[in-house]
Amino acid sequence: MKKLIPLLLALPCLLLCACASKPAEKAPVPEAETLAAELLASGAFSEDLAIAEDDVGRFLYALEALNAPGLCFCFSSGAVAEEIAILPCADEVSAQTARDECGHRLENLVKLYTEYKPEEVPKLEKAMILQKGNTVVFCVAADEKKARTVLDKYF
Amino acid sequence: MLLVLCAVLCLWIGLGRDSAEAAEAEPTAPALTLRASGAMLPGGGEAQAEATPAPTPQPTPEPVPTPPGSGVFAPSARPDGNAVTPKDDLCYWGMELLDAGAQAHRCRFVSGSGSLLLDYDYGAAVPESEAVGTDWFSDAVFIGNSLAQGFMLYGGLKTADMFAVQSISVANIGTDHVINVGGGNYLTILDAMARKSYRKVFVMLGINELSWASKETFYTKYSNLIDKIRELEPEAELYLQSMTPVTARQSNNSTTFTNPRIHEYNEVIRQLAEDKEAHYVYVFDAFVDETGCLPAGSSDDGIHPYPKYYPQWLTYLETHTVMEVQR
Repeated sequence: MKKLIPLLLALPCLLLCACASKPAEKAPVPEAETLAAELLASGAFSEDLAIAEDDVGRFLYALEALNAPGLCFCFSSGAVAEEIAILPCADEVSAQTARDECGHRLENLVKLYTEYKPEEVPKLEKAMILQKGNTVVFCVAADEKKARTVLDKYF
Repeated sequence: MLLVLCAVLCLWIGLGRDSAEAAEAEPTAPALTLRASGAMLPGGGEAQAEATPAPTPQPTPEPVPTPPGSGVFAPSARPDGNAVTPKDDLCYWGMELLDAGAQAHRCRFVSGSGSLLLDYDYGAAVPESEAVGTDWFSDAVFIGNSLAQGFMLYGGLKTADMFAVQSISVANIGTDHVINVGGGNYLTILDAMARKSYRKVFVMLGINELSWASKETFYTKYSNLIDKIRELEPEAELYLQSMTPVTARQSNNSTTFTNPRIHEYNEVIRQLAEDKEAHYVYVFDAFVDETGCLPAGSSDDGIHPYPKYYPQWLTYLETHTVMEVQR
């Protein structure tokens, strides 16, 4: 019996270790507008971003032909560099295209704002481009931590 | 057929009476010189005509009764001498009447809704007229800065092409590669515009130039830009939009972005419109409150209106349209 006691004590520890090594399950990514609304309500943005027409957002990201039904773009009034793009793509190739174009968009914004409004550049330096499955998210926030708290639930 | 008769009658009432006296001395109406399509006829129908040569006469023209007391514009014959043709030709004919009516009044300009702008000339702000539909902008391109981008994003105009980016000024609109065409490739705004032929070019620039030391530099560079746009878009009429106001708070706390300074630069834009024969569209009025400022609480930075205000801009443009009908 004495020999069994250490084993019995060790078992819960082993079970705990097994649980800890398994990554926490992330929630499924909600629909684009729902996720955008959650981000906008998080207090991560210095002004109320507005949802733009799909075709205008696609044009700005050069994603006119992207196979991504139900995407969502949010932009500022022009006063700040903050913006959101949530791109639920139909397939892996589209997701890769979306991710690439988000990268190009970010590069261009940094270039633009460096001369135009340098005070906005730190926000761009903390921009997030995340992907889960075929959904890609691009987010430039005033408070990156608050935005990340929301996105960490899903990505 | 009834619709055709009604339209003819409306056209005749709208223009025939006013034009008769002048047309007596010149019985044949001049060739169509209207430079933009989509004008509203006096009878209310939207003309589909373009500035193209008159179509060949139909072999068996449909007779149209002559209204009593009609003058030179009796609808038994078109102003070009050809017989009146069926309905599909009527819009063209109406445009000729409109043009002839404008000439009878020695009027060089009509609004987009078809009214004669007797007192308007380059250098004056485009006057208010009956609203046009957004189709009027289907042959237009909008180019400009962050304010123009706000209009692109939130103005609600889907029929026009738009190339607008924050940071753009008269100095860099032709040099900075800012229009994303995919794959990490970018065009200048002028290059992006030049890929297509337009009949109307709307420009919104100036706010980023307020920090410049000299209005003369602004005038010179803007003037050069107008020449370049005309070179790239020779068929287009040019619409120079004024700058929009800033809030009183912004105006009082800044030495650069102030409403008095905006008025000074708007006067430069107006002068350019006069000197270069472009239309000056005073969109300042679309955003201004009774104190002469962008309303308090309508902007985060005091310069860029919140998205919900941009449709006011479109409403203003729809009710301040002009086209040149003769030179």
